[in-house]
Amino acid sequence: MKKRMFALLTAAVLLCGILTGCGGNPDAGSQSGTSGDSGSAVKDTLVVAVPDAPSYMDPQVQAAIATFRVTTQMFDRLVSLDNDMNLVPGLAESWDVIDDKTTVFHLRQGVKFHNGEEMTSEDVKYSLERCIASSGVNYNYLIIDTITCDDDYTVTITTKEPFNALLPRLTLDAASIICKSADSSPEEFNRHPVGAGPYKFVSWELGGDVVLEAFEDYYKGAPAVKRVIFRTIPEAINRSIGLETGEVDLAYDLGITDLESLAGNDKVTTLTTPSNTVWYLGMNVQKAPLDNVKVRQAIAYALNPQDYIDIVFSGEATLARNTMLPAGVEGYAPDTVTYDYNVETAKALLAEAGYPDGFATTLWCADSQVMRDSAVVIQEQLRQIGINAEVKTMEQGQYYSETGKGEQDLFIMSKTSIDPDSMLRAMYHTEAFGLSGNRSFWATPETDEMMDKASTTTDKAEALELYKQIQTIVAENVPLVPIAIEHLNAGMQSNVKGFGLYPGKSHYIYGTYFE
Amino acid sequence: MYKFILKRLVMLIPVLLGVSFIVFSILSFTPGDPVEMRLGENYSEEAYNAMREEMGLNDPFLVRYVKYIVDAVQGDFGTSYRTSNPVVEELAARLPNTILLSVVAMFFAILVGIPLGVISATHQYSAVDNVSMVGALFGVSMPNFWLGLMLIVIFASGLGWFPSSNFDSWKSIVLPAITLSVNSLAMITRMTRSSMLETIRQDYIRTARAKGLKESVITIKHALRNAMIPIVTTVGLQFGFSLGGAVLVETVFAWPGIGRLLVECIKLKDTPVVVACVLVLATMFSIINLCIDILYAFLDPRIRAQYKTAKR
Repeated sequence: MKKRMFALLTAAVLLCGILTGCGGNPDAGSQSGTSGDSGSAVKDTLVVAVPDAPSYMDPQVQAAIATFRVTTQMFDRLVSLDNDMNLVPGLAESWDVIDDKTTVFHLRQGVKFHNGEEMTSEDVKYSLERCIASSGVNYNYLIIDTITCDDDYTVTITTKEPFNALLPRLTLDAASIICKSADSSPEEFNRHPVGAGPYKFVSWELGGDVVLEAFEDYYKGAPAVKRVIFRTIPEAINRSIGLETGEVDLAYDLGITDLESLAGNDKVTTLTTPSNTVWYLGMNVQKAPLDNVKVRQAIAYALNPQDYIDIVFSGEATLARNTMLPAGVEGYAPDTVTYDYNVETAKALLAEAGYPDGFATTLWCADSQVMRDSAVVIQEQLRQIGINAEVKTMEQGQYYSETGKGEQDLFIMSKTSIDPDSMLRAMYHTEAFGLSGNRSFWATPETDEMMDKASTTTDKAEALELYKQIQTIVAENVPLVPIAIEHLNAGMQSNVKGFGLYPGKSHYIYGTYFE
Repeated sequence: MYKFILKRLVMLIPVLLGVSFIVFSILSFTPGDPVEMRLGENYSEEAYNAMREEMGLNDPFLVRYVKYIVDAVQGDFGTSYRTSNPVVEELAARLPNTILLSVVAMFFAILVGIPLGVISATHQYSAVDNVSMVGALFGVSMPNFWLGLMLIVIFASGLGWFPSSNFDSWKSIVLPAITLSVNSLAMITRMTRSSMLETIRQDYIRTARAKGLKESVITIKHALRNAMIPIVTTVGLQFGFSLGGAVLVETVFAWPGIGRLLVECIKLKDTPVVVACVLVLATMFSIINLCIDILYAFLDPRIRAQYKTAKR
């Protein structure tokens, strides 16, 4: 009996040993990535903490920030936007706009992919056609009609309709230029992605770190940081603690309350910048009494955006100045019509509209912290003018689909954009009714026409003038009230320099160095 | 004995069918659309319909469920909606991490819990007993995600002894394993104490003592052995629970295991991965319980005798 007990115990211990051994192996590879070690070796590994794990290494499967935050380091585009939203040359050295449908791109010569091959017009054509064929990312590119290779370094892109927002669209990660010969199959490419960006792929453990390595032949010059490790740390507090303990060198999307506590830490630097994400209160104009413009204006007057920002974002957000365009985006025309917080004006407008005592309605939001907080604040602000809004909270997927069908009255949502056309069209055009973005269901033939014209003219001054007029008209009709522009932030060790936040959220690591 | 094990393994089949059906139907009938989760805020109607068809979501619920089971029986658990990787690969990458965490946590709980329970019982109402019982009460009632955060604040952020969320040395397992083990540790301590208290009052213990045996021999060989059955039961259940508890702990410590995968995939309505995760956890829970039942036989000759009669 004693013997058997002993045997059993030994077996148990051995089993545990085996399991421990097996489990311990896969992480051995990332050991070199440990940061914060105060060794004599020159520090050249940057550990970046991100909140969500990437889903693919292929940028053309699905439009997801978590994926693009990694892929943007590996793939360059024909053109790109810098951190101040200026259009700068990328793999295309220059371009000529031939007419309102045709643009010719002159590619940089001698650009190498990570596998050593030279980039040619064939790769560009292949990449963009691949993007257009992928239903998860092609939303912005269906306007493209043909892509032709004139010679090895010249590509001509024509659009189906006259269109002038092609360049900003081509800066997006979905328009990444990939190496044609490396794409033997989608699975293979996802495992071994090859681009022409500053970092090349090394490894990606499922559920673990993504490791990238500097591409020494990068056409803008070899990156200073030789190794980048993206580590998924879901909890915001853990990313801050990681900065404090030195486990991570750079952390994206810190909690707003953590920013305050990190401010007193001189080992850590934090950075904030307005994003391109604008939060708004939408109103379904197909439903009474929101079909009455006076009621909508009353609601706009009743909102106090500064209070909203102070409560929902702890002050860390910028006022949206009566336009859905974020500052920095071309065509930005703030305060063409203003609705300064004024309860009396709001009440007067409501009375004029025939609702002196207000009315009851519903306020829809999805089940996220920001949306729930927003709903409570807005509910209270509307109560001041007698509007009794019942908050309806639902799960995110359901929220997007129900509001797309037009079931809602008032609703809270946000929209991100880098060019005036994609923002204004999604918010105010007839063709975007429902799921495509126009959940207020407000549109006029006049504004539709102006948007179409603004997006097709090659006369920049005319386009800007049209965008200004559109922003004025929609601000007068207020089918939705722009409230706040969300801020992006990141924290880093104080020896990390040169890093900047990109308003589109997929920040570039290139240019970062250790001091 | 073998027949008994076989019978138990066969009984696993209806259990797994039931579990998969429940999880599958919950995910199908709760609001939220995996297609939308995949496409985001803006997409065209055509893209939506094409994606829906591609994902096979247009079939009726029962057809999808039966299809899933038929494939699963052949070892094909489908591909993840989120990453398009085979589910088996996704799970295989994380399962060892979760097992490692649970095993270390249980090891710690057993190595500390049983001796503490024994001492508390043999020295009833002593300082050790009082302290450990208050501690156990604390451990049972404390939510482990909170404890995890507190440990991070104290030992990672404050003292800097351990990493808060890293995965590259033995140090990284210390905090999550302690967090995960506290609950089980408390339960095991309490169960050991009460079970021991019962046995040390038995007549045969008095007999052993009258024979002049050493106190340590009496405690370990005569009392503990007989008190073992409820303790082993608790250990088994706690082991099972610790696999589930890993869901919270793994999220708090960014531990790349099955628990975190499950949370991520529930958020994104990645049905194939969620169902497979739950199936794996249910299977492990059942197998652990089976092992416990077998252990009874080694511990208690009477139970062993029953297994033998059942064989006939």
